[in-house]
Amino acid sequence: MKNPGHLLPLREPTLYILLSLRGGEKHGYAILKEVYDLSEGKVQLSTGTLYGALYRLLDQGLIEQIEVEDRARGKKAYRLTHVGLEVFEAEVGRINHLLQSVKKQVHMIGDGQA
Amino acid sequence: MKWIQRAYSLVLKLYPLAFQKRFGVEMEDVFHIGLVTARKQGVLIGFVLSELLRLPGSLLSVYVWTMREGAGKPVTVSNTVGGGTAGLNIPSEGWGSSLLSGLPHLLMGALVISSTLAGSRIFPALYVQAALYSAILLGVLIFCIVNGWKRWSASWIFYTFFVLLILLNLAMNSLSISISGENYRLYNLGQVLFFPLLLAYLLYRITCKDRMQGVLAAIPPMVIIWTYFLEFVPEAAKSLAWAGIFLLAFLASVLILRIKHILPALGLAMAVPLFGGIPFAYLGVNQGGTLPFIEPGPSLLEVIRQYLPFLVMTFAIVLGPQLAVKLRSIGIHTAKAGGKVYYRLVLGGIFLGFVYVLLQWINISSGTHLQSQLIQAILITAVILYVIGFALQLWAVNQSKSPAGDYSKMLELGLLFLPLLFMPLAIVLAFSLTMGNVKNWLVLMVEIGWVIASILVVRE
Repeated sequence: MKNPGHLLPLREPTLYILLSLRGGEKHGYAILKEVYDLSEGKVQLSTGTLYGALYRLLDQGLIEQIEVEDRARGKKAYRLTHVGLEVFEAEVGRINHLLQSVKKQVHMIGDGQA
Repeated sequence: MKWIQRAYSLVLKLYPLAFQKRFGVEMEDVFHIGLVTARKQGVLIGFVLSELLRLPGSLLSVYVWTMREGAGKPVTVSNTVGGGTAGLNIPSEGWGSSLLSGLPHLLMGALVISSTLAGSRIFPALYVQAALYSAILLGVLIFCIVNGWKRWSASWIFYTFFVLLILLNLAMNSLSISISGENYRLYNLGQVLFFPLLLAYLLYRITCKDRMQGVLAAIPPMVIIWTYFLEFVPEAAKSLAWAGIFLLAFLASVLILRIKHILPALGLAMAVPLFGGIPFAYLGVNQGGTLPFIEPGPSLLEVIRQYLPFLVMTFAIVLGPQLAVKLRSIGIHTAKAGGKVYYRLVLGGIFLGFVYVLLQWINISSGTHLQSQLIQAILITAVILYVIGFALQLWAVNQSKSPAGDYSKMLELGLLFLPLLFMPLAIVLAFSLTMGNVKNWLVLMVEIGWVIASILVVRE
């Protein structure tokens, strides 16, 4: 696997999809719903957007498709791969770093003004 | 509710075929659950509208991803690391696909011959015909994308651009846009520089994905390029020459999809200009305007003198991308030692070499005097990039600890050096010979040697 950094930064919906799958394997609709809940309604995926993203993530090897027994909601579910987890953690690290930098800068400006 | 669900099933047909097969059923299920939930919550219209509004974006991203990564394509067995399918394991296609592969040559042949015979007498009808053809080609292009770029689709790509170019010219003529002075310079730069470079890049990208598709995609430009010889040739003779070469192109494209090996496919593609080009050179010398103003005038020797270098140049269209993909495969094999950068340097040098050739051609053919210092700088940069890239690639192969054996790669790389270097040079020399500036049969022998060396390198 290449350095996960080459896939960063992730787009907001992608990040939420990975976040949702970090909690365990899920069906398409469960991902859709959880992304909505996790983002407090700010990210509302359509069916097409969701599967477009899943298609890309499967090709990139960040998630994998698995067969499940629950036929009520289709036979397939998705789960995070090891690579996907690495990319997710790298993105979280990037956001944290960004946040720290911003906080530090804001703090310095605040001190200067005081 | 049911009709919304049915409508959604129909909408799913807009996605690429491979995507539909992979996710279609699931998407219908998820949409159904969403629909039922939205109805219970009393937000049915909002849900449907939201799905509809986001559909174009979703379609676009799926198509872009499919084309960029070659995802969703039927899997073809590849034994070259460069991504292109190699000669030994390519599955042959059915007759339906084979005929689809040959069809654009028949269509284009009909368009070219009817416009040749019509001359300028039925201009509006020609305009309608060209518009109709562009609509057909555009429709086929969309169909190709939806169906995941099947192998036969490669035959259609060039003609789509070509007809659009014809339409643009017709539109400019009918709108009486004056092409003179600075306008002409820009117009010439656009057509003579941009179009061939775009074509070269497209052929390379297609060959990277599938070498057999690369061969198929190269046939249309190998046909159209012979128009060079037809200035002042009578319409009836022109039409016969076109009929012959388009028929050959049709047969070659059909047969290429029926065979499994790259070498016979290359042979078939090269047979099109080899046989189809003879009447063009003959007509150009005996009835047209390509005879240089020197003694002794039209003769069989003069026909051969003009035909052979032009043929070599035509061969460069199909052999060039195949050679480039060979180099790319070595670059990818040696990625750890920086091979991916080095092969790109080499190809960048060749690309600039083309820019140099085309700018020179613009200077000669249009009397435009582009800054010679700029042109020289482009040539020097091209050579530097090429030589440094190759030296570094050689070093990368030496450093790489590939289990396949470094010696064979070094040998392959060494064999690639000259044929790749001669790709732009083949064009320069061909033009020089055809224009009658160089009368050196030795140069011609070198060019023919280049063709043989290239075939030896790309045959597997």
